[in-house]
Amino acid sequence: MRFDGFSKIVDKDWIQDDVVMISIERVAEMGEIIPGQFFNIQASAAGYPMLRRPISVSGYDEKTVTFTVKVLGAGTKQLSEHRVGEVIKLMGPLGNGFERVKAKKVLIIGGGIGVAPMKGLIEKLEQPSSEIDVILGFKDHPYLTDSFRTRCQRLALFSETISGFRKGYVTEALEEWIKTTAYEMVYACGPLAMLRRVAKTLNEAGVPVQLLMEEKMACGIGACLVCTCKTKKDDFNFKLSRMCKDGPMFYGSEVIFDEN
Amino acid sequence: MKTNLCVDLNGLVLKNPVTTASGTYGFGREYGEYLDLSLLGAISVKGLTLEPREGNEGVRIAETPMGMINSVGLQNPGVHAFIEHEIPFLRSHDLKIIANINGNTIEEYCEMAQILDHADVDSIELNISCPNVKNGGLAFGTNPKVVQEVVSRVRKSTSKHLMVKLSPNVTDIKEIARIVEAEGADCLSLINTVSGMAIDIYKRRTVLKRGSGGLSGPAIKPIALKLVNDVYHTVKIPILGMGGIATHEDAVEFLLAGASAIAVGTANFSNPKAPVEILEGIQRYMVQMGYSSVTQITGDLK
Repeated sequence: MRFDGFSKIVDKDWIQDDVVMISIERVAEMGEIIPGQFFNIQASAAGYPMLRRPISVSGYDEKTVTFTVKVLGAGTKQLSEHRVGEVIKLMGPLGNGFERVKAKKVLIIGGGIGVAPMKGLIEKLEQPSSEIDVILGFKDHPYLTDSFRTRCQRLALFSETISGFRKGYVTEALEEWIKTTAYEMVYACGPLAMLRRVAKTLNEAGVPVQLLMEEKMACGIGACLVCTCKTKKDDFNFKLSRMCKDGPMFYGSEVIFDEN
Repeated sequence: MKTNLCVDLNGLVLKNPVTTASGTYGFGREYGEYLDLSLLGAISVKGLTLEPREGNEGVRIAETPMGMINSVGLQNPGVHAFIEHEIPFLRSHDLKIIANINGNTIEEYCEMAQILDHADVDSIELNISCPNVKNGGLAFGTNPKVVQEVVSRVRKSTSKHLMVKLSPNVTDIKEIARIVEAEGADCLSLINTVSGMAIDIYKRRTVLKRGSGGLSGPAIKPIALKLVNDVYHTVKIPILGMGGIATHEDAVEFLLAGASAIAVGTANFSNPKAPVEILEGIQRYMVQMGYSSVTQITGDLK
């Protein structure tokens, strides 16, 4: 049986006005965790909102699992209000997660709260056999950057509003860097518009990219079919893959990005 | 005290009254990793169509107060793939298989019923909430004459146990229930989802690409309960009750209102162990209230 149960919050740290890191005890029944996987978490024991919230893992060790939650609506707000020592109900890890492949040159791209699972990834990528470059983009103040800074060769930081950081899109750095560096694998998570541009750029350059996608979910285990990712099927057709179960990681070469 | 949980839905005998609702449970595989499927009385499988369907593109869910609106669009592998790949898996568990069928036309319903007549399923659940292609897309289940025709013809297409799933989106569900009973259905299941809509006020668009969808979850429970009670007083065939059941108290309410068995649907999404917890709760309730058989609860309203 897979894990669906309770775990105690052991640490909590607000790193932005609306972003909180919550660490829980790693329960044995959770089994192996892969970066890029998520847990489906009950926002409140009171049962409202009704559906659980899928939150990706932003770090883990033998004793704890950490989530970095951006408060966006009623569910994430309730999640963020739990205190250290309280227990939360959750199931997981869920989804496929990233494929960690052996590669000499690796690029990691994160945008907004999409930086959270990339932190979980870089902490678990084999060192020092690969050289890792990182591009992170934020609307306001950058966060979670320390984990990347200590593990990467090159780091580009973008912010739309804060001076001292690069302005513009993360794809600008991507387009510069792929001219001079032969990346063997790229990992990316962020807003849909960013992932669309990243996939387009890398597909054209023939560089493999693993995209960690996002969608509103209900069951989180592939039964209810409310979260989909449009993917290629044969040469001319498409299929609607299950974001939660077949993903949330899809290769850039298999995703079909519709213009709205 | 020993409690007898067995229920007989007019030929479909379940070892206990807790089933899972079509469209919420796939073919059981995913939930089988969270509970022992053999604890369930039955699974009503994901709505089947004659041919495989990819379902609707775009946003398929809108969460609402204590509920959700879905617009999945019957994504399913088709009746043949179901028979080949899913029945063997389901049969490896101690549960009854209810095949939920959906058609664009009455002919399609009949063809599916004929195909399933030779398949190893225990019951066919006729979903009459589908849009009728030949009638401008209006749901089959809303027009009494069409209901009469589709049930009559599907009844002639199969000797399997036949259950008809009623839509709440009708003027008088009692009239529909009477017709379905008269045309030879063995059992009724109700309610299907309630038509609903959600709007994104900043995009000024409906959240769901198709505009509206089916509302489910605790939000619809009082509606479902009332309709189950209405139908209970109208027909003699047994009722499989559903609509927002999340706890054993909810389940007992449906039994008291007149259901012989219940289905857990949307609650599975927020609590994959809900069916088992509900079954255990019903047993505790029976001991507490002095019921030796779950059949005694049905309609036992003062």
